[in-house]
Amino acid sequence: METGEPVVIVEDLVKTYDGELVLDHIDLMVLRGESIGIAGPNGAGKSTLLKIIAGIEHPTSGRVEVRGRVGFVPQETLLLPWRTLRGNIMLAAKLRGIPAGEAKETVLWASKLLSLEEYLDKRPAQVSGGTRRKAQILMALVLKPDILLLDEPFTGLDQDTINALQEALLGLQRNHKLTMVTVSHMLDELMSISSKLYLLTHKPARIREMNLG
Amino acid sequence: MVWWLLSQTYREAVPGPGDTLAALREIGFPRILHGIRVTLVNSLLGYAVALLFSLASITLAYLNKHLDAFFNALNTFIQSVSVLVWAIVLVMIYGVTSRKPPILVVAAATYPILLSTLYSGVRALDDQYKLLAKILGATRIQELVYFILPGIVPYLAGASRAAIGIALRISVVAEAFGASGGVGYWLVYSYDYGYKEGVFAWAWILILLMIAVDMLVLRPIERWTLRWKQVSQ
Ligand SMILES: Nc1ncnc2c1ncn2[C@@H]1O[C@H](COP(=O)(O)OP(=O)(O)O)[C@@H](O)[C@H]1O
Ligand SMILES: [Mg+2]
Repeated sequence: METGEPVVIVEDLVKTYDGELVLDHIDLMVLRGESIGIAGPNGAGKSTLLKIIAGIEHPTSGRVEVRGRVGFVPQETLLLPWRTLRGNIMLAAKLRGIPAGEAKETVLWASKLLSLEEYLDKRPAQVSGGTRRKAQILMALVLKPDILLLDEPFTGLDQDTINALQEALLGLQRNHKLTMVTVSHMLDELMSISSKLYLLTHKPARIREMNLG
Repeated sequence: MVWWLLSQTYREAVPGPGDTLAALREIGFPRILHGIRVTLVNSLLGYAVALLFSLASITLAYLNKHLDAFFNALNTFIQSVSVLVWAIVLVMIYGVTSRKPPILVVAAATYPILLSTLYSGVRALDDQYKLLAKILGATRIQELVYFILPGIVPYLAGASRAAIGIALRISVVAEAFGASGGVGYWLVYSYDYGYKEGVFAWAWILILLMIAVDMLVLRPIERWTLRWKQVSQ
């Protein structure tokens, strides 16, 4: 599999909720190894678009094709409070049928990359929001995704944590040949990690590519 | 103080602390201990029966919509039958010397409490982890095993504290209808013989028993199950 071929193809996608149009004929193509960013105001439909690509929500009409395994990092951190971060990550692997040995290997390198090692055996309530977010990202990485979908990964984090996380994500994308799609309501959060930027307009959302040159 | 005032005002009906203490001595430690043991065992066994049934109920209801409706109807029925009715009917069925009526009355009284709390717990957890279950492709059974049942523990502990308190109170009422022993039996026994000091002595035993169980058993259990909610930073 070479870089450059399309791995996410969205064609003429329409999504309505209870008859209300949310996504209005969206077209999007993501190539293997690319990192793209999608910005848009709150309520535009960014989370909906990501969930549809992840296969969690279904399109009302249109075509969505995804080639490869998807890892989805939701907007709200969803960790089981009675398990440690490691316990959460290992459960994700188990439910998705990833062998424990492989999962442990991923935890080893990815926790180093995300500076998460010292917190792995703590429970979610014992760590900061930034650490929980990183654990949620590791929970997606442990599934060995080809395509990583990140929903507002920087929201609520302080600038130092954002910089470190952006650095880590770039490292992931380059060294592990990940394809990345990140959405955010803050355009500037996407600049440093995206090679292409798209804008979703206010509901009903249409999409257009932004000129980075 | 209040007690002393009452006993001074209603000298005929209310024995004072001194007389009650004397009655306690008269009843004797072995009988008190035996009464407490019977009441505790009745309460805990009744609670345990209700616990098993309510856990089975929510598990089956979670996995099947029809069973969900069935347990809702059952719960409404059990809730609408008075404890008095349960006690009389069960004593008629099993006889006055049987230990089963108090145990089953306690079970019938605590099942609705446990069930309704567990139900709201399941609903809350189901909402909370629906997206996670989808992301991880969890089956309904996996969702139950990994998300719902572990998450329900604090709800269960909270409900159990209330349920065991009620179990003790209901158990003594049910014991009063039979002749199988327990604090409730001895209370009514003392009353039937016009032994006022005995009634007060057993009443105090009951009150102290409830406080002791709550402080020494129920609160520590609840605290333990909530340990992962604490924030230590
Ligand atoms: N499950 C749902 N049911 C009904 N409406 C929804 C649902 N999810 C999202 N919406 C609506 O769709 C619109 C887009 O939501 P969302 O994708 O979360 O926006 P964003 O992530 O860009 O803030 C909002 O108006 C929201 O109210
Ligand atoms: Mg969103």
